[in-house]
Amino acid sequence: MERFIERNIKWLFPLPAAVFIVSMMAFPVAYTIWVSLTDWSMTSSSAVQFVGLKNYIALFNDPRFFNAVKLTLYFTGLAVSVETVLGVGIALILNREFKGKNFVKGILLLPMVATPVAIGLAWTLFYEPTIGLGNYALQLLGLPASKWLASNTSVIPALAIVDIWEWTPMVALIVLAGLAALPHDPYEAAMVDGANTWQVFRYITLPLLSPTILVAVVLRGIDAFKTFDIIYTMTAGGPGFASETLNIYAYNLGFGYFKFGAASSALVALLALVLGGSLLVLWMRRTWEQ
Amino acid sequence: MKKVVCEHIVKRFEGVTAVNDFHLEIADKEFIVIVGPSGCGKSTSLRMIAGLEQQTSGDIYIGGQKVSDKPPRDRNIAMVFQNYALYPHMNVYDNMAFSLKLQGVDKKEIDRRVREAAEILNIAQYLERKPKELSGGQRQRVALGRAIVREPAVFLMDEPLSNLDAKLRVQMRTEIAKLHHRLGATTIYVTHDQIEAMTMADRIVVMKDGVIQQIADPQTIYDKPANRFVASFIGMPPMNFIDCRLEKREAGLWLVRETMAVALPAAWAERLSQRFGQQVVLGVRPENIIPADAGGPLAAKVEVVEPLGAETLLHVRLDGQSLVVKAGPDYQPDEGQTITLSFDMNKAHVFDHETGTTIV
Ligand SMILES: Nc1ncnc2c1ncn2[C@@H]1O[C@H](COP(=O)(O)OP(=O)(O)OP(=O)(O)O)[C@@H](O)[C@H]1O
Ligand SMILES: [Mg+2]
Repeated sequence: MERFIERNIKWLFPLPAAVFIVSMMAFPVAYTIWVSLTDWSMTSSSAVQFVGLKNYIALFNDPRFFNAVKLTLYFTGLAVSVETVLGVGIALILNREFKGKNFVKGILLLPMVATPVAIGLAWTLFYEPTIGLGNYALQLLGLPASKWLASNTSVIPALAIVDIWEWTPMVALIVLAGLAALPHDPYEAAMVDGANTWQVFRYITLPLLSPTILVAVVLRGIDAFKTFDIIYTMTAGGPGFASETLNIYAYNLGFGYFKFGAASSALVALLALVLGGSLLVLWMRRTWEQ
Repeated sequence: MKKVVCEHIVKRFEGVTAVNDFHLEIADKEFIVIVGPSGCGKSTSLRMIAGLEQQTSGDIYIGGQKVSDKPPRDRNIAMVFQNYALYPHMNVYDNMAFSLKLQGVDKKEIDRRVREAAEILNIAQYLERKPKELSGGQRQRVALGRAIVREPAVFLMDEPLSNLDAKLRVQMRTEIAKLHHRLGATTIYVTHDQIEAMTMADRIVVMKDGVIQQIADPQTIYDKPANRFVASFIGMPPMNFIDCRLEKREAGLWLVRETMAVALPAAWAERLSQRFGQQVVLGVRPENIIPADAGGPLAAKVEVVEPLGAETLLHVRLDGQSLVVKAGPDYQPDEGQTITLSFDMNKAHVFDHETGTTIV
């Protein structure tokens, strides 16, 4: 027995991880892909049939699908870019020594530990057009009132603000960890070489930090792309289809119309987009590094 | 107008005084070398002149201007860091070009200066590489190149040759000397290599425990060390020290131990007059001890013979004390043999037994 373990140790150690990956990740993905090739629907009583790419053809002929892709990209792009800029800024401030620094760090964690449904409810109240704090704040700033979630044009930015509120701290903490790991000497060299504060940031900090920032962007990008909880609790894709992102669209197909085959094809499209996007970013990073 | 003046600088880190009362006036175009054992405050002194470390008290002037509270970029200095401090994300070319780009120097001029420096430093073939793809010695040369392309008023160099092999070190030493002649920049150079100090310096500053021991030109440091520490630190192999008692006899002044007795030059009588009967330390450099087969007054036993080609080092025991003697290449006694020594007393020193200060 012992000799068996000794000889096969390189298989035995990764075994639990392999079992986990196969059962919890590979299997659901494979299953979803299979379902997307069938006409499985709760509303029809006939047996589930293999229909090939029919669901995908229907998907690519559905204007709602393209609307969803567009909205998802819009939401993700807006939320992640603002989160990155703010997160880096906050990290730079937190990287200095000041009193109460740990307290501020603690506060930053709060939005991340709150439950999404509670966040959704709180922000829905905030965005309430007549009594909500949102319009009150705009009024104080002398700006015109907004319809927030109730208008086609402002609903995505309003949702992005919630995502930014919730996830900027995470970007800040990732970047802060990156900053702490930066070497100290190049800064002294840059000071002697005559760089001012901005030039030090532009030519030393930013390039040295870019791998960390990229990690934060990829993590946030993937997550924002799949956002469901906040959007579902606040607008459920409305008004009309104005905030129906891919995930919401797939959910509506599956649990609104019970077309599991069609919903699965939308999810496979979502997966392909996330995967493609991530690979693109990683490829960009590699070419840019050379 | 590139004088550098350090006025009684003190640097304290929590609890430790790293540099104490550092006072140094450096003339324009002068090449100053700071030497001293590890941890004596050389780097700290240099970093205060660079503006990377704020002195606890005292003032610094560069080119007649008080720079005590100015950031490094307002001091017109270039520095070679002990640990290179290269920009890890830039290739060698950009590392060297960075300061010139910041100054807005014309692209062609940058290219000319970087390539020229790379040529001098023998790193032209590595211009495209990142620092992590270079050896320690190559990085050190890039750090040197980054400083010389700037043609600054003052060069600060913190052990810039410490990671080079012996041959390259000699070569770079002459390059730095040539560069100093050409650019005429005031240079403050930290090292613990005494050959670098002796060969390159206009004046040497010897430090110990954060305190300057002596400031003088190399020959003076060698011939007239201010104290026993300087005497032992400069010179290879180091000076021999022999504890003795000073005695006045009819035939003049004598330094005596159990069996040994050395007569002192009559001229020293006045300076030693307060110390008759006291313990003192005799210091004699290895080359100022002359060995002979027999006949001299001091009998010593040869313990080890080290032929070095151009000379021979003898480790001998004289009256219970180990001494090193530098003899000619042809003089190679057997180990265990008894020889006799004579000291060239005109080049010997007498130090205070407790404080180590030079008496003669
Ligand atoms: N940032 C610091 N905080 C506390 N103590 C320090 C700091 N920097 C240096 N020291 C102390 O100051 C003293 C002088 O250090 P310094 O680096 O100047 O020595 P050095 O002469 O350059 O030595 P080496 O030849 O090893 O480079 C040392 O005792 C060191 O421990
Ligand atoms: Mg040092």
